[in-house]
Amino acid sequence: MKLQLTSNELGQLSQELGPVHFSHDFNFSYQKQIPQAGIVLLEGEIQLLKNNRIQETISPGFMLGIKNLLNEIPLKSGLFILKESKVIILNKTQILEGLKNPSSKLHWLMSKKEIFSSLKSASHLHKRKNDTYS
Amino acid sequence: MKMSVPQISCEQCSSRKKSVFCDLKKKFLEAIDLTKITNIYKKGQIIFHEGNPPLGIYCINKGVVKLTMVGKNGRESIIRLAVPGDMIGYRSLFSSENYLATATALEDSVICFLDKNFIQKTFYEDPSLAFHLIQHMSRDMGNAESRMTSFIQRSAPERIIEFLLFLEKSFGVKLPTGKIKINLKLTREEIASLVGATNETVIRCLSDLKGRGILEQDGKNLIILNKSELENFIATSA
Repeated sequence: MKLQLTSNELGQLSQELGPVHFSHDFNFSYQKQIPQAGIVLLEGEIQLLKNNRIQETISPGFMLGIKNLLNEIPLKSGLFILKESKVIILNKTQILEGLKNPSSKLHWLMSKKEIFSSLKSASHLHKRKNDTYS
Repeated sequence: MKMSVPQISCEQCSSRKKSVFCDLKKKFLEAIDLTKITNIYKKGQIIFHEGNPPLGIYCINKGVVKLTMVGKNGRESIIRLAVPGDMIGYRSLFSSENYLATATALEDSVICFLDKNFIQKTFYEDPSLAFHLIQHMSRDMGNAESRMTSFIQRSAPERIIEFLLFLEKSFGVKLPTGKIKINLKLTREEIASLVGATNETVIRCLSDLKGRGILEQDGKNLIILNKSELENFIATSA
């Protein structure tokens, strides 16, 4: 569910996709939901909640929920963003656009983290991937 | 109510005819199917929070969502209820502002999410979506204006009766006895917040209607016994 990014990767991604600021605590995705986007934590904290209990506290530099999003797998733990956190949102459309554009930083990062290869099992997105290339 | 994560195709969606996506071409509906994220929100779970940035729009397939705002005095007001076919979160998305309201599931709800980039891309590719969205927003604006007029011109009991008629239209289920059951459980506080009245006024008004044989209660459900009496009351007080 989580992938650590280097400071170089974080910098490259921040350049391409502007970060957003959460001024209030927010249940970004509840347990057993498919996340509405992947997130990269730049500042602040994210708690992984299972049965309303904190399972783990995530610190900046991690990417969360991408594979769940792309493969439509419900999260085993909810993602709770604490107020005053700064994150990069990676939604499905941006990621699919990244597939089409090998020169984008998102494409570079997703390939490096072997995220695109994990799509092989997701037939629905695989279809889309083929469509976008056609 | 136990629900599993649903796989709903937009073409088969029972709420589609009421939504902005009703006339979209098949290829766009298929694109939505591939992009949307469908989730179940349990009663009380928050869909988006006031003050946070918008990420996309939410389309309600099943259930009811309340949109609330917190005033300067810290008091929460319900600004509207969203029902199947309704879309929420679009205003902040298009105005590039943070959410002005918090959306909370009032009952277990199935909600589809479409991300911001997909919406923008679809607008360019199929301007009819923009047209339908303008229609939807205009309707919402019209409803908001009607509510504002009601707040200015009608008394609290009139607003409560008007709200009962809205509940009947949106959530009413006709029973074999001819009575109409409101299939939505709202607390007195929630009704008071929706109509801009105090809890005491709501309690007094509902008791009065029960006393006159117009309304009854079955547990937390309201049952309308005489809809025309409610309609007459609004018509004569207009």
